[in-house]
Amino acid sequence: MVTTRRKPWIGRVGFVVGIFVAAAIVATGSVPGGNRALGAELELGATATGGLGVAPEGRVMTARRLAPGAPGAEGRIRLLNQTSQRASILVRARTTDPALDGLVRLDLHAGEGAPLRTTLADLRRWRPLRPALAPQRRERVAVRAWIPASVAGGHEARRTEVTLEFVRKGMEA
Amino acid sequence: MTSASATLSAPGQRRLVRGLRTAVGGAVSCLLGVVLVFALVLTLPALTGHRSMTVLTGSMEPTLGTGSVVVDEVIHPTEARIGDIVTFTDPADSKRLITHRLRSARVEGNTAHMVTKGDANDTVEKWEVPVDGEIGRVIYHVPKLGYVRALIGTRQGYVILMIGLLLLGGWVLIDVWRPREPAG
Repeated sequence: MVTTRRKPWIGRVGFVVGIFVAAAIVATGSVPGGNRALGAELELGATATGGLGVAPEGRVMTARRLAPGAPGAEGRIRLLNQTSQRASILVRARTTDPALDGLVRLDLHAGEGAPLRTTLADLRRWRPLRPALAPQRRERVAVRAWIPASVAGGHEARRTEVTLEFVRKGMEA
Repeated sequence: MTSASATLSAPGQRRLVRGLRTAVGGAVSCLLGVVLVFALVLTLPALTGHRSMTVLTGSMEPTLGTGSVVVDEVIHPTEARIGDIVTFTDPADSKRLITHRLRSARVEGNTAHMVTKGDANDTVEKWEVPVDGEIGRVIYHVPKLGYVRALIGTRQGYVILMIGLLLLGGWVLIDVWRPREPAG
């Protein structure tokens, strides 16, 4: 005589159904994450001394949400050689939060000259900005701040104020 | 009115009882599956470095209702994204945790200054945490499960749970030792 258990598959099916029902409830409870990574914020201003003038004075641009690989932010400065001599220009940056110094890149492109590409950290010392300015000549300087895609982190939610200081060569302190 | 059993023959009665037993068995198995998954939801997070907590207020309605169980992953504050729902220590009461949505963050030195707000609240809260500190980020939630957890946490709930387990154990034992019916 052969005996058999009473429909054992019912229990298994019920168990699996229960698991699926609960898993579905859990799955629908997934909470979507935020849509915006914490970027860096950079406020850039400019000053000029030693016979140079700059416009606009004060804030030139505000870069919000700077992030690795993102396009970055751009601003424009006009430099004026107020002297009667040809002026070679030096530039440096002062920052309020050194945490971004090694992460943020600055491109400064004056007129037809070769762009100066550097980090905020490198720009703590005077660097030449080409070309030299003829007497009473104005020149536009395009500034771009960005963070390379290779930066792994450390920029998140950081904020720094950057002041670009322009000076005629020979007049730097 | 005539009762069903009165009109059924002996084999019919047996079939009815067998059918009922099968249905109850299936339902109990289904319930077991649900309980198993929810038990895992409550216990697994602790094993995987996550945290599960019960939402006590409606400040995050309708996203997180009162009584929901939320499961957090532990992150550094700079890993959060704007819009994340984060769990942090109440700046006004260090014994209390708050789970609200991140509005903005700013890092100065080694301190992250965070601004959060409950979806159902009108005001924000500002709090600070060390940059290398830890906060929670909600990854999923299970509505109402917190009520079950709270119930189990009480004496009565514990007793109910034990009675349920005993009944279940009894059912299984009866099922195992029940005389087997001949096939065919």
